[in-house]
Amino acid sequence: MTTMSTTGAPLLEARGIQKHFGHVVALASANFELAPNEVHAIVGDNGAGKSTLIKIVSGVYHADGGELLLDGKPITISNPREARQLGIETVYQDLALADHLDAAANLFLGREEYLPGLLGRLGFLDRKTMRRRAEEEMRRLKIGIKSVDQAVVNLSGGQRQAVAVARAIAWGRRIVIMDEPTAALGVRESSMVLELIKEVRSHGLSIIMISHNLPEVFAVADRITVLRLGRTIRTLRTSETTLEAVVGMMTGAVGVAA
Amino acid sequence: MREEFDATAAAAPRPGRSQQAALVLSRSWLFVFLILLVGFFWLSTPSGTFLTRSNLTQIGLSTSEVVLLAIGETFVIVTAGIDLSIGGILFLAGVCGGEVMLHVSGTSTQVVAGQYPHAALGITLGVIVCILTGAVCGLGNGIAITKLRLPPFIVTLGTLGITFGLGEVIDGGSYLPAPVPTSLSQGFGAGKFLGLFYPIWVALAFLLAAHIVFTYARFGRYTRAVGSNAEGTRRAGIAVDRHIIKVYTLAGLLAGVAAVVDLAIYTNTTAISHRGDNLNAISAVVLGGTSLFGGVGSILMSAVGAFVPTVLQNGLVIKNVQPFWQEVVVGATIILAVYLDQLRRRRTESG
Amino acid sequence: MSRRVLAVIATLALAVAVVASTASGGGAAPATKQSAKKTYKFVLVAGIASDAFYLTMKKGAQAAAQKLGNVTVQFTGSPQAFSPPTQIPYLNAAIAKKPDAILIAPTDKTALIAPIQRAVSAGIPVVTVDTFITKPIAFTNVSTDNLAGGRAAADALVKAIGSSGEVAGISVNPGISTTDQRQQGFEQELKKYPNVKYLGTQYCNDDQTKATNLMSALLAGHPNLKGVFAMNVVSGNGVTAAVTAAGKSGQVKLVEFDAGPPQVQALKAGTIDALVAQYPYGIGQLGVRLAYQFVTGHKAGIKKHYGTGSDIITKQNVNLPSTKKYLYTP
Repeated sequence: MTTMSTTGAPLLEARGIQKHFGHVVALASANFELAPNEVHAIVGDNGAGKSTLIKIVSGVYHADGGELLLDGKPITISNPREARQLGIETVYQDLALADHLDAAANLFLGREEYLPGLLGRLGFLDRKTMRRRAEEEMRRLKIGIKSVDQAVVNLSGGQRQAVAVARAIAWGRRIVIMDEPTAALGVRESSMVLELIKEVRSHGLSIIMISHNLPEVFAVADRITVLRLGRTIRTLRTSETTLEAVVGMMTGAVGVAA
Repeated sequence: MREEFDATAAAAPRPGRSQQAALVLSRSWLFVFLILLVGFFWLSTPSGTFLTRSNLTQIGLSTSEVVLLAIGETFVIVTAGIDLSIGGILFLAGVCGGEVMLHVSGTSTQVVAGQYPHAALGITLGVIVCILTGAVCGLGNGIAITKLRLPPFIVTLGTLGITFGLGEVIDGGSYLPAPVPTSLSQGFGAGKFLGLFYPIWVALAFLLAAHIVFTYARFGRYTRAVGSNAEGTRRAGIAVDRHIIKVYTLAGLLAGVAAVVDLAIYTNTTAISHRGDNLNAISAVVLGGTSLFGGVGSILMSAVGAFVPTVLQNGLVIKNVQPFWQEVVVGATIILAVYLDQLRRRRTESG
Repeated sequence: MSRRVLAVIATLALAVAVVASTASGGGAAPATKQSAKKTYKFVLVAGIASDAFYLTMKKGAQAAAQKLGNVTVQFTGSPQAFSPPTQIPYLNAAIAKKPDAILIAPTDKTALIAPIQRAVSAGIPVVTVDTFITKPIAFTNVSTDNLAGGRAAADALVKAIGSSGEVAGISVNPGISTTDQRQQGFEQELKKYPNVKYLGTQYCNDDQTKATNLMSALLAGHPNLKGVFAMNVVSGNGVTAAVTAAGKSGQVKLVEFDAGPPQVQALKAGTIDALVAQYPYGIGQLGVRLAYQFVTGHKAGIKKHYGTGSDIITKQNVNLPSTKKYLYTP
């Protein structure tokens, strides 16, 4: 059984989500419930369906069955643009950054600022404003990159992650999804990202975080949902469980909860 | 410690003037190379031969077509695609537009005898047909690539054959029955405005417009984004397929414009004249530093790249070098250009 | 740092290569030892620089220059294609050199009018060799009598097929004066033979593959085709390839214009039945001599056109000494 957060109605709910790719069943029945202002981790072994579930929430995939509810009302999310319009931003595992563009351009990708008047309607970009706002955003999130003008391919792994995270946080109004946010990072850079996640929560958003790294999950998450073979096993408060117990649920040593 | 989250670093000023200048210079080394080449030919040939206004304007005139093609090809290559068909599109557009021009300007006996009573209407319609044909062919490329999900190399290789074939079908395998109206060939193709031929002005105008769009407008940024990471750009909510179609249509349209210039300068068109156009355009783009893998490019540098082979060819003839050596030198220059560009890339991408 | 040095060195190396390649220059060494006498510089712009016909013309031109003693002839032109867009840049560079005269084989009889006019307006006299342009701005034209050559080809082909049957022609492009005249002469002469059916002429755009394809289609569509006249080397190569591939060598008779080494070989092997050999060496020689005459002030008496001969070469006469001068030696 899921445990509700103490503050009442869930922000986002996924009930009985199904998804298959041809004959491969990625999700048989996934349930998930996100409370307002929490960091909620989704964990599971390879093939558990974690990435598939969040790609359904972010609009990249369509579910084959089940329903999604936002603020208790049923919704459909047909494409990434609709997800963003609902206030859901995603940081994908591969970051989805355009390497040859700079941080400011990446931050505003798909949401560019245009010059005022006729020039703007012709499609001319307000690069100065975007640069300035990108710098402000980086400052707000306490991210230091020497210049928002450099192509992001020239930045370190942690800095690139920071840009992708900053993009999601800058635009995210309600939910930020992060798929393996520290997978490619070293120890120091990982801890910086985790600090950033806490920073985001303190701004009032909720974060869904997929991670293989259980120590990190236990360091930042409020609650954990365990998936195994396309199904939700359990959702628990981090403070009420142990790492070993979670591992057991992931691998099947512990059975499906009632 | 959180040194990389240093707030003061975040507020650091943008790279200093000299750093910026070095960056610009490293990207435009080909321009410096072209200047050096011009200087070299100026100094090593008898005075009044290479560096004369008439010689340089003639070089400009014969390069104007390649510049137009290179502009379109740059957009395509920056999306990590390629267009092998632009020579064929140019030829087909020229055949269609040329035929319309001749049919509307007079009866067949009249035009063969060099009379064009309705030249103004004929030329206007012909120009429109040239540009439309080019755009439609480009649109076809774009749709086939995005809807059929085929690699651009293969699609445009097919279009190359189709356009050349169609052009020859329309022309009966030879070429236009008469030269285009003289107001187009003499008035425009050989006419001058402020000392430069009209076709050069056309190429310059498109060059400037394309550079501005590429650098300052959303269209240019999306082109680079698609080439850099198409899937990521899609996830950012941008209609990637539609953008790719626009880019290939643009390349076709520019080939149509180049067809007008071609008819104006050479008065007629044959398939064999255009077989090498696609490689000339791609060479210009590669010389200019645009990566074949997409994401980075420069319209202005592609234009510089278009001039390097033509300046080389002209200078070497004046210097009495056998024509076969020119091909060797141009080929070696391309390899050198790509090598230097790779060096520059590796230095700036030292992370 | 060291990489930047490497880049500079590489650029300089290219510059050195360019300079070094100029040492291999394209012109004949002037034989003159009298430094007091003026050396005349001519430029010969070929239709296409990689064709045996023009390379033989170059030899004749440079031989004439050597004999005159104070003339140099630079040979240039596009090695890639016979077309105005590829030829005109070479002509432009030749004009910029300010030579004493230009000899040129125009690749189109109208497209080259304006560029040649520019040469003439710049004070450079122009001799058109081989092909011509429709405006008489060149002071003379030296070419094979292509009408006569076409007629001779018709006669040779009819003789080869036994005076009756279907024949066709493969040419380059309408608009090239030489091949147009060959076609004209061929068609005129064929009218004399009532039992010969003429299927018309098709154009291969100077593209050998296209010539092969056209010929294959002809063979497939006309199983009774007995003879073909290919009006230049490229069409001839394509035609020969198609006939050989169809296994009809010897059955379909071929007459081809030009006698380059591969054509002579094919003639001796029996794949080609007759060659109409032009005299490019002679054209080059005469062109240079006329240009010299013009620039040294002896303009009077220069005619507007000089025809050079052509010869029908068959297996029977190919080894005769009188035929030898007509064979092209690039």
